[in-house]
Amino acid sequence: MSRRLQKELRDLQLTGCPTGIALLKADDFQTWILSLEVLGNTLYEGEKFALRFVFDNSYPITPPAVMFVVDDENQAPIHPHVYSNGHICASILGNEWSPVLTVSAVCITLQSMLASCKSKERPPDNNRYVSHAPADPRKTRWDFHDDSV
Amino acid sequence: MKAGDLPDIDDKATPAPPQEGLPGYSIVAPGSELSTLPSAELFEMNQVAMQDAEQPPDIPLIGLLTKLSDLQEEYIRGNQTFVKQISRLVQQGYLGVRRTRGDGDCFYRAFAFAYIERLLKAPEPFRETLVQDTLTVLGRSVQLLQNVGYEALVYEDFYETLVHTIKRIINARPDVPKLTQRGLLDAFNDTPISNSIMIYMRYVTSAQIKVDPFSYAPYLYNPDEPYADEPMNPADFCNHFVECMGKEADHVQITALTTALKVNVRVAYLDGHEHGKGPTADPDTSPINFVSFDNGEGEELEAVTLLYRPGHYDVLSRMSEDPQESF
Repeated sequence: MSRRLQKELRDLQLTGCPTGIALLKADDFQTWILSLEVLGNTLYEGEKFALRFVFDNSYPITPPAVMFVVDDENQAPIHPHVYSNGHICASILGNEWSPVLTVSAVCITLQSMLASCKSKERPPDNNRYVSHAPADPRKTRWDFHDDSV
Repeated sequence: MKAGDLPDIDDKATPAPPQEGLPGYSIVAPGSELSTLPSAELFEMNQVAMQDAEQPPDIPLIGLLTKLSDLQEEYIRGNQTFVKQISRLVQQGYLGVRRTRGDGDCFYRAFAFAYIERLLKAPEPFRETLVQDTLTVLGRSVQLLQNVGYEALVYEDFYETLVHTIKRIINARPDVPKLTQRGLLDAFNDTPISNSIMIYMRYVTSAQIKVDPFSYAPYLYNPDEPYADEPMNPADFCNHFVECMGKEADHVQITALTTALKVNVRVAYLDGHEHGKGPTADPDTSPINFVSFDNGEGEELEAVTLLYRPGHYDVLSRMSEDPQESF
């Protein structure tokens, strides 16, 4: 079991989550669910999303699998880097993952990705990707989109 | 400190696709004079040679010492400058090489291994003091990480793994086996231990650049954009090319790490070029391009020596094989 995750959980419980983030489920050290809101004047004002983190034994050396929850209650945000199945195309979750990133840091990065969005649209290859996507988004070889979007 | 005539490269399993229109990128005609080729071509050829060697996916993270002459045989039908340079190294007393997995982390892993190994091999009366001195410097590196804003939880497990491994050199606790050459090799092939130590080296490198950005800023070019006009912002450079695994190190990173840990490093560059140019240059006596990073304190410990071939670092040794140990 990851000592690191225990420390992260203790930190989140003791000092609280960053603004707009809340821990919904962390009953074990395999799967956590966090809620995410983008505060302020953004295209996602008033929307609330759920993020699922799945950790394996080598976390934090390997990245967690992070995706938006898509079910009866939750939808993935409409964003050029977020597929309708909840998969996220972000380099920090793939080849630019670093163990300096924490669950909290990932949430803040995704918040700022949404906050800077200029136009709510799905990635151009959404339908093609979603019909073939692996269950684990880390198995996707992303061709990273323009970070400035 | 700048990379000079070497290309910016990394040795990840999937080489970057050839950039069409890049000057000097072409398939080399058989029999062409390799030593006159641009580095980019030599790099490509070396990558192809390494792929042809078909390293199995389970190649050790760090291997046993093998004879440098065995490495030479791999080039015998290829680049003759490599062959000559390896002969020169052998003549200078470097008989062995400890090969590392070409996963983009090879510099940090090779460095860390040799950094601990030289303590292990230090003569008995000095060993304990040298270990303590090393632990003191490492303790200061924690302060360095804190100064540039690292949260304790992102480094403390990695730091403890490194310190625990080094303490095993002098540790006589009955529940912890004393570190042997074999034990060090086992630790570096135990993926979680090996990666923890390797990542700590990345953190220290990154922190040293961040704490002293003016010394490094002019040299921080994006290796993916070798023709960019402007260097990168130091924090961005560290986030993209130091703190992430699989991103190879160049002179900048080596300078930063050896500065922070106060270590002398010598890198033998087998770059396929003959040095000592001019009409009198004799390929058989052309010197090896050793690049020294002299940032050590005290001379009791020998420099960490590494062998560089385009895109890859291994540990260079004066021994041709690992010592036999009784278990």
